[in-house]
Amino acid sequence: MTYILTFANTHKAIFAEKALLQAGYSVGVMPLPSGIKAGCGIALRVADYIASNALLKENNIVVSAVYQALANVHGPVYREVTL
Amino acid sequence: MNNIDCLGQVCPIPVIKAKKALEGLGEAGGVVAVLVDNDIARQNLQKMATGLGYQSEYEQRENGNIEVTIVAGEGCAVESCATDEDSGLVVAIGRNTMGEGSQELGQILIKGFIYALKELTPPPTHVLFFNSGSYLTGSDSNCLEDLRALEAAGTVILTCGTCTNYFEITEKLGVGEIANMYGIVTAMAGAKRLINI
Repeated sequence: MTYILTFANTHKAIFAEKALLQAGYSVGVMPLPSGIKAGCGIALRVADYIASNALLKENNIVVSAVYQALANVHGPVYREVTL
Repeated sequence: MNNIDCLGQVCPIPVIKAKKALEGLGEAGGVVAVLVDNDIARQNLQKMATGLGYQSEYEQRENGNIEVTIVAGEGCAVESCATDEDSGLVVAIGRNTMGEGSQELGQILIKGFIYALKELTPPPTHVLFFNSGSYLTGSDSNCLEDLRALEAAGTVILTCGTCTNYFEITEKLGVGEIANMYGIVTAMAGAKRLINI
């Protein structure tokens, strides 16, 4: 399952990607899906959002929201996951 | 049989020699056998043959040399993979950042760009990587998952061999194939539309 992390601004998204990569996490980058509103147009894809969020919290990086992509005939639908 | 000895020669020389020999066969067609000593030359010869619609095969000899045989002529054409649904879109990525200004920002933008390419229907026919763009197809790139998905959707991923050689990352290629400039130019020339990053 892939989870999507959103951020308040681009700097936070860039720092978050670096922190996750340095910690050895598998992380992907994607443009913010059009169905999601956030301050930054870049979102990160992670497999383990709980561990990722904990690591980012240790690095003082606040995740705005976490979404789960659900398959739908018209394309993916994004459901917010409670942190 | 037209035999060409390309031992000790690196791409694009074997491809150019083979193409000239194939052109020399005329409409009657025939067989061209090219002897090379490296697998990248073998791959590029076979890609060139497929691109021209010819069948090819190769034989690895005990001494490490490889003989690539290309059969040209009527009735020898392989079926083209092209369909009416092909996008004809070729994307050329010549650096590992997107846009001018901040390198840090550009590096994250290019990853988002590659993800968005994956979402295109139909997908690009080719995505070409050269100069520092070659780092994006390396085994340590975190674009690999998206590039592999593109490849699975039918996109040909080519990375400039001269560039991977320059950066000493040829052995780290994580997706697609190594191509020479001939292959890159052929893909660009065959594009209906070209996006240059």
